[in-house]
Amino acid sequence: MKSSRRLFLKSSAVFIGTFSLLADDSFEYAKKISIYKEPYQTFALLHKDLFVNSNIYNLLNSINPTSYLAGVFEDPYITQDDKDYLKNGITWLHETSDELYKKRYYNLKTYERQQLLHKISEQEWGDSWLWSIMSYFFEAMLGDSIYGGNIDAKGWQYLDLVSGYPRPKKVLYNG
Amino acid sequence: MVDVCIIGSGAGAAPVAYTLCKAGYNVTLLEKGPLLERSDFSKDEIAVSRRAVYTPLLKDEQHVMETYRSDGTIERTLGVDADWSFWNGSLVGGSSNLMSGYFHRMKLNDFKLLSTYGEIEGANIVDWAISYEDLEPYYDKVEKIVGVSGKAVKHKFLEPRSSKDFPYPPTWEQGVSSWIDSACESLGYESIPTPRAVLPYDALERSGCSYSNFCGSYGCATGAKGNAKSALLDKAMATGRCKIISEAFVYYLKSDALHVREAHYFDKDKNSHKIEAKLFVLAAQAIESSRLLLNSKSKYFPNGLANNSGNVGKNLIFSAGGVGQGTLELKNLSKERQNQLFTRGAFVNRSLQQWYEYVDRGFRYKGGTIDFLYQHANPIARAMGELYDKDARLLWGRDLDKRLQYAFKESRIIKFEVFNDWLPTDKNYVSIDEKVKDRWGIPVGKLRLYGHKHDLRVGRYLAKKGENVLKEMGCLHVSSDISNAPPPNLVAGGCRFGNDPKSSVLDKNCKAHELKNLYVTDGSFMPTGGSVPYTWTIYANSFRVADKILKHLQKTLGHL
Repeated sequence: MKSSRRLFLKSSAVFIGTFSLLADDSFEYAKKISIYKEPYQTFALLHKDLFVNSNIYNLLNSINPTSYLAGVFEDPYITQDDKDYLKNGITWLHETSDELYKKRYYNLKTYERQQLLHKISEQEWGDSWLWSIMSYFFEAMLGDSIYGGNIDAKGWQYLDLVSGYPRPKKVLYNG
Repeated sequence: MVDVCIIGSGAGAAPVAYTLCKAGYNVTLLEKGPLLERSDFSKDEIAVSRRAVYTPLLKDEQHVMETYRSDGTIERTLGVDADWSFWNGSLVGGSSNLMSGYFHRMKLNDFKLLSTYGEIEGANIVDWAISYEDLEPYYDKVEKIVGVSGKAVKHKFLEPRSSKDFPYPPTWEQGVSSWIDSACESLGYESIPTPRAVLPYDALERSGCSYSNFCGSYGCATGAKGNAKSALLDKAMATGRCKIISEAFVYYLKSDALHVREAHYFDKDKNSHKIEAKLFVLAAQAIESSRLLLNSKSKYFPNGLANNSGNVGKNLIFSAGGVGQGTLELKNLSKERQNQLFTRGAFVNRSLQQWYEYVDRGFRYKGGTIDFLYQHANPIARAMGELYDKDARLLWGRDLDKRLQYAFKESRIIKFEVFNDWLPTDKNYVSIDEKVKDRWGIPVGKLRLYGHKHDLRVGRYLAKKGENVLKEMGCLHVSSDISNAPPPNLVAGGCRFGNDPKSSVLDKNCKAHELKNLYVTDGSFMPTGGSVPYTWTIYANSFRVADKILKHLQKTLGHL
């Protein structure tokens, strides 16, 4: 189980040959999205649900996790399989919701969504999928703000963190 | 034609380039990765640690792993399928750019493991073809030229030193370091300062450490870390006689019966080139050096270059051992100690080598080294470590927030690493997988992986000592994990040196027995590994061999 989670996260290995694009100063990792369209409508709601009743909930605008996730879908280091897995999880989430509540996830009441998340977290796919959602959430919250999350270093401030220096000037830079 | 062509640019390659260029010879290095300057490095966790931008993408370049199931059958795994990478650092300077710089010398008995400790069933233990005394002047040279900071204190296994102390004092140390000392004193243990290839202040035409809190895994923006480029290649380049061709993947060495004549390489656009040289030095790191030799088949060497004896790739070794950790809670400490615990940037710099050799139940064991450190500062990785509770249930919401508060604001994890011998065996080696090719169409390396059970026994013995120290310090949740999983960044062997051409690839000077102008100067030569990280020994041996190569060149090309 653990290795499959690790496998999923780190198998981020598609070379498209566009490093020069990523190394461009003007390249923005996080993308502008509409949270009224799928899959971002559900991702945005999920990000709220995963931090409901916590102080991190109030930082969501600064963490910007859904726009960051849109950047993940265009990240050449992440395989298409992994990107598909993230999106397929949304489909499976709605399917499970339909099965249990006869409604789409975003039409459930708050407590029903929490019940559903607990339900899927007990299944292998759900545990693995939520783990990957969390991994990109933490990248947005605790990665350098050059990636479009952690705006004004709010994520670092929340956990009393100070960046290492020098900070990156370009995203995913490897020369 | 150049005088010397070196394949690779890391700790095994750079001392040769440095020595020969200073002596007036023309050297060309071929490095698969890019040439990065200090100004290119930053503390970008997403790029460096999450996406691993300094190593090849496994889709393009991978290894095939073969492991033993419990019934003895073999399980085959493609690196890309399991996200299992044995790459360490594809850039000029190699993985020395990304090291933590724990620099321990090997001990006298590490050079004569067989004659000191005897045979162990299933292991191919041998004595080295050289002694500690042969290598000592070069350990000393590395201290001075690469730059090693530390403090030599007398202890049970302190190796003989030609210089009384290190040329640079220890880097800035954590308050916790003195807590470790006190705990060790209470236990009757000898804690010692950990030597580090990090400059505490400006020296050697490099800037001192900036104490950024992000050292291991990251490139050094000041040049304080003694990586091969900052410490040696920059100076070799300054002679005007060193040429580095980056993004050049060497896939074939062409030879006749006695001499290597050409290195064939692909550039980044997959165009093939070749370079002629009078002498070749191979230092592509252990696995890839064996792979290149095995892929360089010819009518003279049908089983691969320098492999008519069948020894290339055999006796691959890693470092055995593992890690342990414990948690110190802020609420149990005085205000002063709280501040000390949360100091950022300083190094822990403490080791134990008291059990480098020990007797347990009447059996004399070769033991190893324990190094102490803080949990790595990477915040994303630390946060991910808090996702599950003790019952392995995924957390979110308020429960997760509480754990994050505890992990980041209310406690610190102190860790230790155990280094002990990975015994060489017939069951752990490199070969070629003819079915799986890399992005250039070249067969990839296949790793048969096996850790001897003796390694686990020694590792667990040492880990208990590390746990004792953490408990004595007042750490909670103390645990350790010793396994025979091979650490990719601690790899050596595959072209062991020795005096008998039937049982070794290289002679005592690391020249291939079967060729007159091929040397191998990375960790491949090591027949056994010692119980310390390998980088200092690789540097030192490369300086030693560089002097032999210099004599070789002076004899064949004349003095310059």
